[in-house]
Amino acid sequence: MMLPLLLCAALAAGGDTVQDSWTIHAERVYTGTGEVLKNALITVQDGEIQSIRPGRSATEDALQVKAVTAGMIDLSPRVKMDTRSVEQAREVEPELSVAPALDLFDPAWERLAESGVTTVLAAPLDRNVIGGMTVALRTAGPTDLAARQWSLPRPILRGSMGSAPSYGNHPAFGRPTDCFSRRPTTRMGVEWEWRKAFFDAVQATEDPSKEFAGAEELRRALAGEVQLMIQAWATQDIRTAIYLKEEMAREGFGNLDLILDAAAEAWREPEILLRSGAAIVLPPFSADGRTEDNAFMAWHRDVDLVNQGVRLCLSSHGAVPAAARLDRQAGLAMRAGLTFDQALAAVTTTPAELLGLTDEIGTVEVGKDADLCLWSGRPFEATSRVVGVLVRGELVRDPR
Amino acid sequence: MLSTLTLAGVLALAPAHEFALHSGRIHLGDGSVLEDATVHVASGKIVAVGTDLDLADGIPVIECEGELSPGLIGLRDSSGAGAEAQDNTRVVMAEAELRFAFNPDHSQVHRLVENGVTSVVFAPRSGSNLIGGIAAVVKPSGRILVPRALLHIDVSASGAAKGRYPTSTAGQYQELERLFSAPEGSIEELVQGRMGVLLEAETRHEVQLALDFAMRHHLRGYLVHAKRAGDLAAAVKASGLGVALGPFLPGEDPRHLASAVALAEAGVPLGFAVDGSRPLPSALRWSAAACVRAGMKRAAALRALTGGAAELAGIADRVGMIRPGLDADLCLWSGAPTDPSSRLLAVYIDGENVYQAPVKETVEEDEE
Repeated sequence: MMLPLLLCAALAAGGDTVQDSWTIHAERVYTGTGEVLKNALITVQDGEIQSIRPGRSATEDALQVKAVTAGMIDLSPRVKMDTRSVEQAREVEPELSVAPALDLFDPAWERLAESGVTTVLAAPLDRNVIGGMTVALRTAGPTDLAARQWSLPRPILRGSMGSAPSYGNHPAFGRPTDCFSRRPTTRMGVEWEWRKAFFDAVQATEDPSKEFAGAEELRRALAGEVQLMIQAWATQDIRTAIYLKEEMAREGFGNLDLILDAAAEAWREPEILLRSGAAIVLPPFSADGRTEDNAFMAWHRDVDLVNQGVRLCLSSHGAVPAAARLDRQAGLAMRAGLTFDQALAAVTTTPAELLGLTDEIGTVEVGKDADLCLWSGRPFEATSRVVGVLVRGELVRDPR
Repeated sequence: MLSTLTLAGVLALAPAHEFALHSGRIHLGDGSVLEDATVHVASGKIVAVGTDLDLADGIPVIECEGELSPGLIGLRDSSGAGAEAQDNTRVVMAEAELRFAFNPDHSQVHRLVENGVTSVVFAPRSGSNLIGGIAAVVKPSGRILVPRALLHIDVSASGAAKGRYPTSTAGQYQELERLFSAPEGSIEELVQGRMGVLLEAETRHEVQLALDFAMRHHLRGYLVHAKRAGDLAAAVKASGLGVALGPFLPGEDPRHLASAVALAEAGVPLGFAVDGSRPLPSALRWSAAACVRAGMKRAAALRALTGGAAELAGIADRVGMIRPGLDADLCLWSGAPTDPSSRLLAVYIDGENVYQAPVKETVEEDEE
């Protein structure tokens, strides 16, 4: 236990003594490309996977483990998203980024990295209709956001449907007392804010005097240059998000590219999901199926969406208990009916695709970044655990 | 006992405007010490200091049994102001001047003198202000040294407003950048370097963002409340900002003290704050002693209490050292000023003996 702690300390301090080349020997390497390599020797150098040679025996200096997968990617980890992560004074804040709120000194990042999650998408807290731009970043490395942040080909704007955005708002009877004396106080109001934001952004192209901060980001979303991630737990909210997309297309405003986060009830209406092409991120499985916003999550029906062609990612959604961590989620998804490959994809390749980072992360291949998860047994099994983690070639959890 | 009696006796007779103090040890305020030396004071100013002063006849020389130091300087204080030190009506109070909240007759201000503090940066309390107002440098005697000294900017959690813009970190910096894009009033003075900044940032993350901001706008001044800034010592050093340490209390988190030592070792200009959540003038020397215990050099700690703090507050040409031309703000201690068991015997502000320790029997040492 002492050594990983020391290494982490060295990483945190930006120490230059951190070993940057590793050899790993695994009985199985689940590459994520459909291939399983036996007794493979992986070499890592300068943050990249340099070679993968199956059918080898372990060298003396190799880290020996049962299995290796790509580092996991969580699109909804909700790390330390406190009330300062979102500007609540206004309901629609597409021009603000969550970046300044990301405290890389928070030990939650280290815990996340040690659990095998190597890249995450950080989003503002869902207290606004449109909370702002998200940031994709590595979970370990220097305490300098520029060094850890991914530059996404299509950045992701975050917003929310359901009851979350109206939380805390109240109607003003008489004089408003604070910024929460405002719309929306209901789902109807939330929906209105969404439509108004996009409508205003489009109006401003015709009348520059109507231009406002954030309009550009909204227009980029309509143009498909920015993806739109919307939290929507319940059926009615998933519908509202998809209807919004369809209305924008119908009006000729543009084509929103949707990722539905926390889509617990996505299973109820697979046809509209398929019609919309939206990807979904599931919240953690709960024992009784109950989640937030009164949404009921039917495990087997939810994961069944994958077989119907829906792009599905799993997430921890900020859950603290170890049982809700991403590796356990993949195991539970398998119990609910996913194959191993599908479960692996839901925590590696599918989120990598949504981020547009398939050239860098998501699979174990030569030339890819050395974001690796080292396992004590077959990944995602209840009796297996993450014993080692590399983030960009740096050992943040030592299996020895 | 004898020394205090002698001192008091002489003072009663001597004309206050010109006199000399002779002591076995004089701490000059920059970390250096003169042994067996004399300070010559006239009309509230230090005229000369040295081991071999040629004093004119008739100038009374007061024999001090103890160590002399410059008066201590607190880098953040709101003694006596209470709720007057923070105005919640607006998030940005860039033109609120704290000197109007300063009441030298308040008992808390007397407490400053009783703890050897002769100048303070009288600054806004942290509350829900992004910009709390303009700190003044004042003396507890009532004199205002610099009316518009430093602008208080709070980018910590306390500076994020509740129920109004900005509630978020992103919003705080959005608003600051908006204000700094067309600077006027105190903000204009700040960006032109005519005023310093008192930058409040608590966590390391907040410090990181605050340093970026300060460097982007070429601000000078110092951080307050940044108890773990030492983990970023190199970055703080590179920013040119100083740090107001403490106040540290007994039982302080050792990481806060290690941070202070790391800042000192990195050569970051340091001082001490009087005010945490309330004014604690007695904590000033405790804080310095805690830093010494954690590994800071004694001379560096004393410098941070005096000359170093004066530089950060922008008043090094007025106070903070025992040097000809500066105000005669002096403290006489029974031992080393950074030793918490030393007792304050006398305080001079502008050459005036404003505090005299009550006469006490010397504590008998326990016999073995």
